[in-house]
Formats: sequence, C-alpha cells, structure tokens
Amino acid sequence: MTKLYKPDNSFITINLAASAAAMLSLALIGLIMFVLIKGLSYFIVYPTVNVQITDKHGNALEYYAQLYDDKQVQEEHVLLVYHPNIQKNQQLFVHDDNIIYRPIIHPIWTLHLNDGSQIFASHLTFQSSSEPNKIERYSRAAYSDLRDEIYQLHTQLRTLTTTLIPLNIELATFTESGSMKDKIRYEKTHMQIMSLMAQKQQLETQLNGIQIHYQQADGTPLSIPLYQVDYLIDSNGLSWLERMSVSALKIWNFMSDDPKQSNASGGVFPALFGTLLLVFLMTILVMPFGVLTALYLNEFAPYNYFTIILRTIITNLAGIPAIVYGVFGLGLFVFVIGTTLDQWLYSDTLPSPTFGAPGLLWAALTMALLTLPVVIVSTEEGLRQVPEGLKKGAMALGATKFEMIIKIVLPIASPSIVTGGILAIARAAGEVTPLLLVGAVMSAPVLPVDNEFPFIHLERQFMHLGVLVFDGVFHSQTTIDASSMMFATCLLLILIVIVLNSMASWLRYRLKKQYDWQ
Amino acid sequence: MNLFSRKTTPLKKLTPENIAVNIESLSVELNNKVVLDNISMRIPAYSITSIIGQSGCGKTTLLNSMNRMNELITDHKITGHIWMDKRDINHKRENVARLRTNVGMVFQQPNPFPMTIYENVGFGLKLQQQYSRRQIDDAIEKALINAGLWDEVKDRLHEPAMILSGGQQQRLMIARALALKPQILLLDEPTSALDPLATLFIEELMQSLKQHTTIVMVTHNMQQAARISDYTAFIHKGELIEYTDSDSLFTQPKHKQTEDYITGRYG
Repeated sequence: MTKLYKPDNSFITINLAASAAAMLSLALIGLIMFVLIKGLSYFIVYPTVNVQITDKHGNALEYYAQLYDDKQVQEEHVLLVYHPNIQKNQQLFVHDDNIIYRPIIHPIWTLHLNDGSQIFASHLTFQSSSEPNKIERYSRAAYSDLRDEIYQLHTQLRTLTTTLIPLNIELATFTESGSMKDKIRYEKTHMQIMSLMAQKQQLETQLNGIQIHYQQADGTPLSIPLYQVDYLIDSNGLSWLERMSVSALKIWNFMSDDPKQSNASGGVFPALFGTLLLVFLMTILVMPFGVLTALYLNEFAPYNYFTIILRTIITNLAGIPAIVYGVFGLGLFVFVIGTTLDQWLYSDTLPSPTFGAPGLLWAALTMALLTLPVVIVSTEEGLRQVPEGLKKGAMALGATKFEMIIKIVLPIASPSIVTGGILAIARAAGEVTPLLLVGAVMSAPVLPVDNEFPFIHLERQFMHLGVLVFDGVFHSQTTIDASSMMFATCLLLILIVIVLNSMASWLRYRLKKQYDWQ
Repeated sequence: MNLFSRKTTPLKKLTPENIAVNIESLSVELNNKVVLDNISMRIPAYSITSIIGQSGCGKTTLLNSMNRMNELITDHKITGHIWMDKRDINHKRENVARLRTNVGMVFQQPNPFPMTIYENVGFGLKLQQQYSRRQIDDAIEKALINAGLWDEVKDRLHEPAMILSGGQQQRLMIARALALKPQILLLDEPTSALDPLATLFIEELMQSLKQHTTIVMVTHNMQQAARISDYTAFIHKGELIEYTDSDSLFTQPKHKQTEDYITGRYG
C-alpha cells in the first residue's frame, strides 16, 4: 500500500528558520533599544551630590558633583565635577572606599554655561551692575529681572555692532583714496566709530558687571558674569514635571545649538542641517541621472555585449568600498574639476582655493555617485515591470516614444523609482567615510546657507551627523557626557533615516495605489 | 446571421475610391528573418477583412505594417508600399504618430492604462493638445456610445478602468481607438481572450462600426471569420495564398493549402 503523505521532516527547517528570524528581530530591537537608552540619557537631569573624595595622594577633596550612577549598587562611582581654574568639567571615577557622601544642607545648583560646561554651586547671590554694592540672594524674581537686563544690553550691543559694520567699511574705502575733502570725512567717520566703540565698551562693562556669586563645596567663593549662564536648575529640588521640561529644553538645545567643548557637549544643529542639505542635494543630483540612465538601458539601448557589460558594471559599482568613492571624489572633483574651475572663474582669489578644496558640492556629487547604482538598479526593476502591452497601446494611440515614457512608463515605474530614492537617501544619510575626504569637517565655522548671495555656498565645508558620531568616538574615553552626546547623535541619525524612509514609503504606497495596473 | 445572404462586391470589381488600403509588394524582415514576402492586397473600404493563417505565419506582422508598429522592434527591414488616401505610409517622412491616430489598433489582450475610464478613452485626444475639454468630453461620450459601453460606464467614468470585466475592457479598448475617429481599425485577435457572450457582443459591435470604419481583423477562429467578415485573406509562411470575399474562400477555396487549413488538416 502506498503512503498517502510523505513523512514530514520540514519541522526542523521551519524551526531553524523561525529561530533565525527571531534572533534577527531580537538583535534589531536590541540595537534600537541600546541607542535609544544611551541616546536619551544625554537629556536626563541627573542628581547632584555633596561628596568628600580621597585622591591617590591621600588628600581629602570636597566637591559638588553630578552623579551618573546608582551609588547603592556599584562600587565604582562616576562623578562630574567642575574645575574653575581650567574652566572645564572633569569626570571622576571613584572607588566606594574613597568617597563619603555628605548631607546636602544648601541646595546645589547646576549652572549650564553657554560654552557647554556645567558649574555645581551653592549659595547663589547676584550683583547688579547699576548698584555694585548691593548683593541679592537668589530668588526667581531677581533672576528674571537680571535676565531681562542682560537681554536689553544684548539687544543694544547688537544694534551697535550692525551700525558699526558699514562705518568700518566706509573707513576702509577712505584710506585707499586720499584727497583733502575725503580726509575731513575720514576724520568724521573715525570719530563716529570711536564714540560708538566707547559706547560698546561701556555696554560690555555693564554686561560683565552683572555677576553671579557662588560657593564651591569647600566654601571658596567664586563669581562669573551672569550672561555666560544659559540656565540654572536645582536638580535635586525639581518636581517630576519640571524635570520633564528641563529635558525638553535640553532636547531643544541639542537640536538648535552649535557643538561645544570640541563636540563633547552642546547641540548638533550645524551637523543636522549639513546632513539634510547633503541628502537633499544628493537626491537632486542622483535621481534624474539614475532614472535617465535606467531609461536608456531599458528603453533605448540595443541588447548587445556593450549593454550587458555596462549593466554588470553598474550592478557591481554598488559593492565598491565607500572610501574608494571618497578618494575618487577627492582626486577627480576636488583636484581636477575644482582646481580647473578656480582657474577659470575664481582666478582673482587664488592661491586660496574656492572650489579647489573639499566642499558641499563635491561631497554631494560623490554621494550621488555612490548611490547611483542603487537608483539605477531599482529603477530598472520598475521599468521592466511595465507591461509591453501598455507601451504598445500608447504608441498605437499616436503617442511618440517620449510621450509614452512620460505618460505610461514613468508613472507605472514610479514606486520603484521612489524605492531607489529611499535606499539612496538611507545610504547617504549614514555614510561617513567618503565625506571625511570630500568636505565634511568636525567643526565648521559657518553654515553652507546664509543670507548672502548666492545663499547656498556649495564650496563651503559642512558638518555631518555621521562625522560627528565618528568624532565623538574619540572623546568617549574622556567624558561620559561626550559618549552620550555621541549616542544622542546616533539616535538623531536613526530618527532622520526613519523619518525620511517613512515619508518615501508613504509616497511609494500612494503611487502604487494610483498606478496599480494589475 | 445568414452566411450566404451577404452581398459583397468581388475584389476585382472594386473601384479605386472603394479601396481603403492598397498594399504593394510588401516585404518585412524582423530580426533577420523574413516574415512577410512580397504581399500585395487591396483592402476595401467600409468592410470587414479577416486575415487567417497558422500561428507565426505573419498575420499580425501584416496588421502591424498598416500602422507601422513593426518599427517598435529594433531590428526591422520593411520594403514595399502601403497606400492610404493616396499617401504611401511607408514613406520615411510620414508622420507616424499621426498615422497611428488615423489607423486605430486593438490588441489581443485588453490593455487599459492604469487610469480612470475617462482618461483611458481620452488618452489619444489629450496627446494631440488641440481639443478643448468640452470637445474631449463629447468625443469620449461618442466613442463610448459607439463601442456600446456608454450605458454600462456612464456613472463611473472616473473610476479605474481595471474594475471592468474582460469583455468590457476590450470594448473600452475599441472606444479608446474610436475616440480618435480613425478611418481604419485594426483588430488583433480581439476576442480570443473573451468568453462567447462577450465575443458575440464584440462581433455585433464590429458589424455596426463597419458603417463608417474599415475594419481589418486577425483571427484564429475560422467560424468567426466566416461569420462576420466580408473578405478573407489566407496567409501561409509569409505569403498571401488566397484573398477573396469570405463566401468564396470558405465555400470554394481555389488553393489546396487554403482548403487544408480551413478544413483543419493543419494549423
């Protein structure tokens, strides 16, 4: 008698496959959770403590410090303290035996300075510039009054600076020509500038006069100008809601501020901006180029050895290491094309290069080259899916080949084209290696976009989130804050890729729904 | 329909005014293979002409020659003349896009574009960029009425064409071609993908379209050719074996090959 069913031994296969999938999803969830937790820890308000530490020479040192770990569990304590003499934060790793936690009698304030460092202090008092002898205890009202004063002084200073700039330019033109009439006007302008400078100096003295006095843990009184303080909080005395709002403020500062303390603290705005601009430019460059190439290969090119080889090359281009693209970009775009452009168009500023140095345009071009194979392969996939019957149908209705491609082929292939775009964007947003060679820097003095003509300065160097993470890796040994800034940047990078991807996926879904031909 | 009651003018008695397409010694080579060899035939106006023959004998190529669709194949070589309205459409300076609006074509498989019914029928008109919206609306309505589809779709013109059934889609394809008011309509096995009822519908439609359009049809179905066409051409291995009015061809074939084919001895 023959068996009706073959004995089923697919059980093992299914289990193996399922466990592989489970492992993969665990790894993915693990990665995202890790980056999420580490990244978000940058925005948490940590408690402050009053400690006495015995250092390796046996000296007892008193500190107000920020405590990063749970003192109950671990033997090693991670503390962040402020050193006024070097004006920097320092991270201390202290063993359980060498540390004594003392009671907190006076509230310990955290002063977030605008250079990115944090001062831990008690006994806050204010000194106003108008009445230097009057010392005021900290109160919310007094603090906000002084803040208002600082704001007004800043505004006045800014107006002064803006009036000074054209005068200075005028002065510079006078010195070049030297007639008698001009001399009088030169003197006049000079006087004007001098008086304005005096005003400015006075304002600055006034600004510096508004001081905040504080005490360190050992009782040393110190003071700094209040305008250097971004905001101050009593981290131990905050309610749950206040903690959240401080965290929100930290997130906002992270998104909108410049990096400080050599990329170890502060915000990432220039890098965020640079990344988005790079991705945008790259997309503008790569999409038409990639789609046109795919169109040529699929619709026009004859099927012969040349096109077969071309296709193979394009597919294999995706596997070339990114650093090779970087070197290629540097060699061709920067050194050859950039230098030639400089000779033709910017010969008056030579030998200082304009386009002959790494910059945004070359970075975008290199990234476009890097992502080109992805776009071509994906677009071709879509073009192949367009039924021959539809193409013939359009031609039979009197459409030219161009019209047929515009009205039938491209709309139907559009979901695949968008998929190519998604892959290209995801790759360009995360790639670091070639950018280090062709334009991204650890710290750029200016953004590539400003209000000066031509508004987008493609020759400028820029910052990039991936490069910032790369830079952060080298700081992670010195301060834990830097490492969390790095993780926060990682988190932002992942978020950007997710947001861009979901936007593109939504677009693809819409297109697919609209041009579904099946 | 009674096969023997039809009155068709014998081909030899046709006057030049009654000829819609005059093919003169047409030869077609596709991918270095001779597909059509020295074909000459005159297709009468306002009638249905069927082209029958085995698979791969060149029927579709002959049909495609009449609106130059063969040129979509990269490797093609076409010689000979095809006269329509005193113009040689094979001339290299002929405006192919305009020719194709004048010679409509319907394919074996309905191939509606992934658009609405309205956009499908208006596709060819929109391409010409010379009609107002109102003219296009009117032309679409007229085409759908002529294709016998208006009553079925008038309330859902702006829904995707994909929702229609196979037979409806094929009539939509005919409407799409008719919207351009072609003088000649080429049908490439228009009913082979349809069920008998839809086939009957299309056949009746063709009979009514005959009033103002010349129809050339490729078919595998000999009953269909005998049933609806006025003239029938039999092609074998790229050569025109016999071409006469359907009645004569199906009742008294002059050539043995024709007889063998229509009696089903091969093919």
